[in-house]
Amino acid sequence: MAKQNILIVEDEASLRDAYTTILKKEGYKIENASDGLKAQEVLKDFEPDLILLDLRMPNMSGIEFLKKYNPVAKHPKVKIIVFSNLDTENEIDEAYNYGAHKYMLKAWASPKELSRFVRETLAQGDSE
Amino acid sequence: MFFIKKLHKFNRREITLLHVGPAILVFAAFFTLTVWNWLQLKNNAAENRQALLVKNVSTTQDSINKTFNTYEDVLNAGTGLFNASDYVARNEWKDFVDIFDLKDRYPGINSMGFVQVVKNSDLQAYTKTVQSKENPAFSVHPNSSSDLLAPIKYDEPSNPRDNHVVGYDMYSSPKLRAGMEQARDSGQISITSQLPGVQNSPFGNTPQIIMFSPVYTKNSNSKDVDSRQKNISGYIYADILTYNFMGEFYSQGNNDFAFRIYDSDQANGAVLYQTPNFDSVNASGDKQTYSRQIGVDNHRWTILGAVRPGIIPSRDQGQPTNALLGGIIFSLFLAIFIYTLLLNRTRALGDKEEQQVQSAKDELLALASHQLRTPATGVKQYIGMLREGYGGELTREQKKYLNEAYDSNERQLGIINDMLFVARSDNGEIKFDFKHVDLLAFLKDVLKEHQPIIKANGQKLVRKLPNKPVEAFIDDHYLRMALDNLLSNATKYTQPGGVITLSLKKTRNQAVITVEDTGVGIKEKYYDMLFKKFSRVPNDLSSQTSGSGIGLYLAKKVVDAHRGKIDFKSSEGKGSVCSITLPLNRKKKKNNNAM
Repeated sequence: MAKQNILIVEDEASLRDAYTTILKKEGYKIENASDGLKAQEVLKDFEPDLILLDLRMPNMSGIEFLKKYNPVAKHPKVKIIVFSNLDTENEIDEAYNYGAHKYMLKAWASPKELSRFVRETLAQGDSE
Repeated sequence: MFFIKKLHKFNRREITLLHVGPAILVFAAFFTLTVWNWLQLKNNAAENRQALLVKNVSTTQDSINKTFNTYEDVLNAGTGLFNASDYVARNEWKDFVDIFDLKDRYPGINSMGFVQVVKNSDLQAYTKTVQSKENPAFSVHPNSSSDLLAPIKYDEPSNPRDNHVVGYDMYSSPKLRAGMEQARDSGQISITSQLPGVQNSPFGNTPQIIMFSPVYTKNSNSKDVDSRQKNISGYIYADILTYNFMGEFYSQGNNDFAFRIYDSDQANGAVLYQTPNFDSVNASGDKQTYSRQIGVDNHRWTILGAVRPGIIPSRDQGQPTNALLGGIIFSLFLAIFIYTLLLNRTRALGDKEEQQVQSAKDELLALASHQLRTPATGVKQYIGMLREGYGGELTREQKKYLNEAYDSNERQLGIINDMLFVARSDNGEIKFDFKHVDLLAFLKDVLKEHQPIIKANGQKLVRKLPNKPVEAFIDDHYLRMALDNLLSNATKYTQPGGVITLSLKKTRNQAVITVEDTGVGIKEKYYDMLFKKFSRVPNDLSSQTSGSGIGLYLAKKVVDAHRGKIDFKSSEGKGSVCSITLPLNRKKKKNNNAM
């Protein structure tokens, strides 16, 4: 079975590359973008099963992207994992309100844990 | 926001200077004011007393003058009698004197009489005449060889016991003679200076003075001294007993005013009279005196008045002292008030400053922590990838080094977590997530992480755990954080070979987790500092170890949120014991507990 599509939206280049490498190794098809605006561009031609969305980005932040682009409406089966290194309660709640499914602190996950998290999220039913 | 104003911490000396100093200044200022006021009041009181004294002396002076005026009137009446008649007989004189009712109306006048100036050559004839006409017992005494004599012809009221008054030659007494000659030459009433006392006064031994009024021969022209001397016929005199005369108006006085009358132009010499209370008033240490010279006929007397403070009503007397006491008490209170005010202000300012610094630190902390996580995350990913073989097969040595690097980075992330936690908990941002957890399993799990480090430090880990589960309602994430801190501290501050003990005890309502070490310990005076943020307490290993000093502060925050207690005891050189007491009867609440 073909593995799913994952969009990585992260402004920090080295992290973006790391995540891309890790998930590609798992067999997923990866696209990435460095902010919300670029993400919208990419999504014109890419149907994601999962979006890894950084919250703090220039030009358009993660929250703004969720609000304005509304990926959940546009891509009904997509799962959204928001991640950040600043884990303030308000931000997380806001993200959930705008359609995020899971939250992850970037600093938590080693490559192994990241893969597992992505895998588990994708495996969960739409009742998430 | 990164610019933090330098927090000025007051040292002891500055506190004293800035707080006690002004208080002392205020006290000194008001105390000076008080003392000045007290002195003013005392002065005023003294002035009041002085004014009263002067008034009393004036009154006394007036009384003396008035009385003497009346005595002069009496004498003038006597002179008038002699001038009006060719001859005044003894019984005429007696009747005349009787009219005056001396005893009752002029108590100062003991007697009034007439003295005749007689030439020595005429003496025998004169004596015979008086003996036959007026008084068979008349005899002039003492014997005298002077040209002129002045025997007392009449003296009324006569004292039967004192029968040598009549016939007494007044010229034989220099004082009397002086008085008479003064009267003669001036043509005016004169008085003598004080004469020896007389026993027969109701006041006891009383001095006497004689008042003379000259009588010249009828129809003589006595306008100058020469003619007066030539024409002197005799004298009317009044014998005045000073105590009798003064006593009548003294009784109106009061106990705190006394006076003395000196027969001189100064306040010394012969005393004509003094009030009964004079000695006692004069002897009192806080008396005030005032003297005034008065002229009485041709004499100068001096009235010396004295008052005691009692002359002012006692209510007013106390005024200066009350003012002094009141002022001192007020100054003291004011000083204390100022001191307290300043201290409070400093504290408030200090608190405010501390708060500002604190919140600036917190902001910095939060931001920095976040910023620091990013590169650390990068390291975690790449080293993680290498470890997991993303970069190819690894040799054992490579794996070892990568593990060290990964662990070190994890530790760093841990510290950043702690710092963020602290910053947030101060801002009230932390939310706890309580769950029913078996403490036994939980602690075993926590120890798993620390066991390798303890072993690596050459220390021994002792577990004193029960063999049954202990269910508690905790936030395992944060409680783990707290225990991690305690265990890290224990192993950090214990030497190789030391023992670290973790125990769990269950009582009916509580669970007590204890972390004990045989490390360097800390002095008791530093206990308080332990639970403050960012403090690191000086101990033997401080310089060698690293750490942000958040440890126990974080632990306390967590334990507080669990409604528990944290306790710390340490003995320098022996070790430390930290115990966390958690209540066991908490129930699952509807939602999370915020910090």
